[in-house]
Amino acid sequence: MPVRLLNPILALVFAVTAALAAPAGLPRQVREPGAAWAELGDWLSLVATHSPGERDRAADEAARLSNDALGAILDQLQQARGRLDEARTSRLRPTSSIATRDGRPVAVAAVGHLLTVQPEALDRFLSDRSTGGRTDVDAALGRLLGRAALLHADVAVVVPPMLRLVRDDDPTAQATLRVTDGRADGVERGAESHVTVHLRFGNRLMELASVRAPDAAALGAWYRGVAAVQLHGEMYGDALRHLEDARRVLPDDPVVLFYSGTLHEVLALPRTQSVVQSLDLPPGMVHELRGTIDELRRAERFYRASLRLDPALVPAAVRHGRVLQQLGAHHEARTVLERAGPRIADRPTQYLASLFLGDALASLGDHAAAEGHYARAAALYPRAQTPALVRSALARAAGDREGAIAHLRETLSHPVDPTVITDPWRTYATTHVADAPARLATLRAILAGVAR
Amino acid sequence: MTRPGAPATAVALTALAAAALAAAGPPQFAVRVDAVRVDVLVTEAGRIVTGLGPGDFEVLDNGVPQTVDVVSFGELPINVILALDMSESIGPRLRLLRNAGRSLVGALRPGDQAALITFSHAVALAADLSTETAAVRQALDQVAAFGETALVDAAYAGIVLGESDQARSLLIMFSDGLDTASYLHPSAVHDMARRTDTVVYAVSANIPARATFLRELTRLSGGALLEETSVTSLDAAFLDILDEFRHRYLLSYAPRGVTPGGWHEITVRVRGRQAEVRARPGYLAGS
Repeated sequence: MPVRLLNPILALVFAVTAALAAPAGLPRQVREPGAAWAELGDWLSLVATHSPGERDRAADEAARLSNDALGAILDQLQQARGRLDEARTSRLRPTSSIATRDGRPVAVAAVGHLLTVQPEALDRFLSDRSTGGRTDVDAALGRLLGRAALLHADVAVVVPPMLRLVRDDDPTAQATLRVTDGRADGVERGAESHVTVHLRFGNRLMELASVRAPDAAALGAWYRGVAAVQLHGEMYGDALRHLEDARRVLPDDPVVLFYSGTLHEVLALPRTQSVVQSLDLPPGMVHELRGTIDELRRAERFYRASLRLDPALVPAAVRHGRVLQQLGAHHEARTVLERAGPRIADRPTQYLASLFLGDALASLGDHAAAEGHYARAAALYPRAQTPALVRSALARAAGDREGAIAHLRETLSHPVDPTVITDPWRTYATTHVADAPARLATLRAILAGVAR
Repeated sequence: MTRPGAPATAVALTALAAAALAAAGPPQFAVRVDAVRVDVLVTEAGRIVTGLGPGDFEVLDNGVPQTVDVVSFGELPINVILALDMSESIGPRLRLLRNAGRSLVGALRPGDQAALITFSHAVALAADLSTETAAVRQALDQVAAFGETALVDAAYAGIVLGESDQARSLLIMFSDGLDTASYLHPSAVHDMARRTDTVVYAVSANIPARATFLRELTRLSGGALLEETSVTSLDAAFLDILDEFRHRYLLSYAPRGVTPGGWHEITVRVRGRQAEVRARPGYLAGS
């Protein structure tokens, strides 16, 4: 299943938070305890019946759950978690002998009893074959939460885009910027994408799952997979929050740190900074984007941390080299890029590394070597415009006007076809997450238990 | 790209022959000397001042008075490079842009050359510099709006194209002013503007105050940035720019008493008048 891109007008999504007190919204809906538990039961049924990766009845019904309903479900799950802990520490209900009903070696009845309501729903879920008859309550609950997170990830990526109404006083709600061709042309308040809501809900479920019995494979698959989907869909506001969550849960994951670096590098690119320049927010709102240099510095720190944990992460090294160059650290950029060069296996990354190394060398005054690397980039992608532009600029800076115009005429004479990407630089913001569909597939396989 | 280091070689600029030659045919460029050309607009109370001669100008190069060798005014053929933003956001203005481009080309004189550059996520030379302006008209008919905005890359291309011919070059850019796709760094193109005598004018649609690229580019080249909202129409804006450019003086002088190389600040004043002078603020020698 390919990753679905959002509606282009909403493709560039930023988090915008209220700087001042937001106007009072409606009071949170008060539910009878029984009704809330009933909702939990219904939700558990959706989790149990959902087929991973499919847009099925369960996904459609889950997509319609209100923010209030999702909040109530989370509350109930947290209560259940607490009751399990109480039971574990109680002399009357020791962990090793959680009561079972009808003699089955599963924790269904115990969990259902502890939850006090809807044991049938839990029973249905935990009777699913994929549970493998585990008796450990923590593992069962962790598995439930993983399956639930998968349901909500699928809601985010297989259900067509829709905006959901949210209250102004919802502390988790984000405003969304409408962006056209690099220019902010409106702020949506009181509504947010269902993609945002369901992936954020998935994070809460995975955090709950990680408390007692963290499953490294499941957590890694979740945080990497969702980040890849968000970065691929250019949902930068969502990615910013998701990666903050990811670093809290997985502080030493090199891929999470690499993605964090790419996010901040993209936020430093003209295509994102142009939005900041055109932004005129309503009173009481601030955006979370920093200026180019600040974003580059943050990216540099994340790349450095990622490479410390995994020096073989070549795409991180290439991007680290570019960021160093942009920050004026030309010598270190050159060292990093020269070291990465022989280990680069794919053509787009070879191309980008050649351009960035050429830039570093040009900045260091070694024009001949710079020209050599630019020429290599040109040879890798003969129809790409960027190598010709930088070769022209290099010639012009050396006073060679004829050379400058010759390089330029050569590249400008090619017809521009908007449907064909001939220059990997044009997709630099998303090239590193081209494997988002594969990461999503891995996430599904692991959370559904197929890969275990 | 970050700006490479200092230029390795100095290039001798070609001095213009006397303006009178223009009347008899294409200008001659027989004499090669190291010369600096400065395009200058002189206004007084908002009106263009005409009829000035070399003796009316006081030119300082890094504070050192210079002798103005040549002054031309409106007689020389010119190169007009039109660089139009064809990104998605320009879509609704496409018809107006086509019409404005046609009007501009229609106002050129025999001997003038025109070129058309379009830019979206990439830059294209839709019509190369030529006296056959029909090619520009034809290209204008075929343009379509899509994609992002490689404004900085396009500005670089326009300046370099302007330098490719020794006539006076005017680059007119139209954009919404926000770059989203360029590889070249704005500072590299601003640096180019310091090295060239191509004059850049820009008309910008709703340019945000924080978008400084075009403002700085036009300032460095001695041109001007016009807001679309401040002009009666795009046609009028393009024609006004052309008219203003034709009424600029082209001063030329061989620098004396100044150290070669590096940044030279230029000051141009008109003797005995309270005139306003617009010119590029300086040049990078030997580039």
